[in-house]
Amino acid sequence: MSTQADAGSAALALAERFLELEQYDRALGAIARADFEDPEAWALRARACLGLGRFDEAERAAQLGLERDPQHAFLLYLLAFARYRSGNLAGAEQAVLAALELDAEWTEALCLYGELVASAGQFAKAERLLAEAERVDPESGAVLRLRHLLDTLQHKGERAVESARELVARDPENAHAQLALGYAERNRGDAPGGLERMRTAAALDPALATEHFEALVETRVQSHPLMLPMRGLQRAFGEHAQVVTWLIAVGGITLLGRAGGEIAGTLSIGWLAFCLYTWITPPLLRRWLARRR
Amino acid sequence: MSSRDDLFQPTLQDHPSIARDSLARPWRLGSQLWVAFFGGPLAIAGIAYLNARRLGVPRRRANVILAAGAGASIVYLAALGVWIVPALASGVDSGERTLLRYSGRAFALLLYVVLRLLQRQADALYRFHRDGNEDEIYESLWGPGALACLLGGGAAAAAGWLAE
Repeated sequence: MSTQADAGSAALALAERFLELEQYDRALGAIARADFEDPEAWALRARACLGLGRFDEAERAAQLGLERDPQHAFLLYLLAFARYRSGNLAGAEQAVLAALELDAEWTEALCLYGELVASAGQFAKAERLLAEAERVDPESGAVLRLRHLLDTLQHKGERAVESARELVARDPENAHAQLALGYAERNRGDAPGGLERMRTAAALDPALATEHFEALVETRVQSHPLMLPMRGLQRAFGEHAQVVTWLIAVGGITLLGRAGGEIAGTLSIGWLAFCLYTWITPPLLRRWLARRR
Repeated sequence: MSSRDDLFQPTLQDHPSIARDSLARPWRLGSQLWVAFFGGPLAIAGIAYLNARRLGVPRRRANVILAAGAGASIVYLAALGVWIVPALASGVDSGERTLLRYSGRAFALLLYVVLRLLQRQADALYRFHRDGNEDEIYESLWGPGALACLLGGGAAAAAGWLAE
């Protein structure tokens, strides 16, 4: 009996180690030898399934664990996460609120709830949950990640870069943090800086690079010297760069045309050339990069 | 109820599940710019409203988009009939003609900015919930956009013809 229990504990310890190393298949293999009357085994199985992107299986594992221990806060958290990743926000909310009922000062659960409501567009409530989580543990990585997510979803470009920098400063070896900073810098108009961050992330975690391959290619396109004028506009006017350019051109042509000057015609031609440049250059660069690959 | 208790009240129970593939894919916000420029206020209003529905914008906000688009279109058609067409018909110089021709486009571009701001939160959430590159998650606007431009331009031409 004792030998069986020891074997079960060893299997769980081994699975835990594989999860730390992000070797989810191996973790599942190790868990298969565990005692499934133990809710911890189900928690580990749910974590491994989440790591493999098998969200339905993760949800099932968390539910089976909760049948054995309905007050298991971490299983409730995992259930909420699995449901969230499956797109079931209502079910995820029920689970995370049950977890928070057991421990209202659990930073990760507060942040997961914040992410849930933010993903539904309820930013005011997400900010309140973030403030609550910050009060409990201002140094938590989950707090920084939620801060960055809120900045990104609310189009706060400069703040998104700042919060991503904090994430990187906290853990420079974290590929996800480097990637987040890469996206934030690119979106603010600093594509070369973003590309460097993305390359760092790819070196730290090649699987992540495969997952975000298209973004990496797009950032390479935007980093090209031919895209310098567009980057400048993006830095100056953010997401409205294109419409601002058009408004300036239309306004300029209108006013100069009214003044009766020949310059309006020159401006029209210049603007047309600029439109053609913005339209043709990115696809050409994409094609050129694809050929070089 | 304290403010902290209030924080733990469920607010997502009526939220629909995020069906990642079932909805019609929306159009890129950036692509709507050329619809505004070539099709005018009526075309961009129609495309923005349809896109808001595709993005799953809450009904109240979708109605604001519809109202803003409809209001701007009425103002534009009225200006066309009352001011622009009669002025062009009465024989103005080329500078004046440029001003009249481009004022409608500038108005449509400003309307585009407003309608874009009204769609952008839903667009950000849509992108957040989807994996894949832009070509996979967005629909091409070429066909519907060209049709909207034809209809918008046709309506403006009809308003001009009536004014004459």
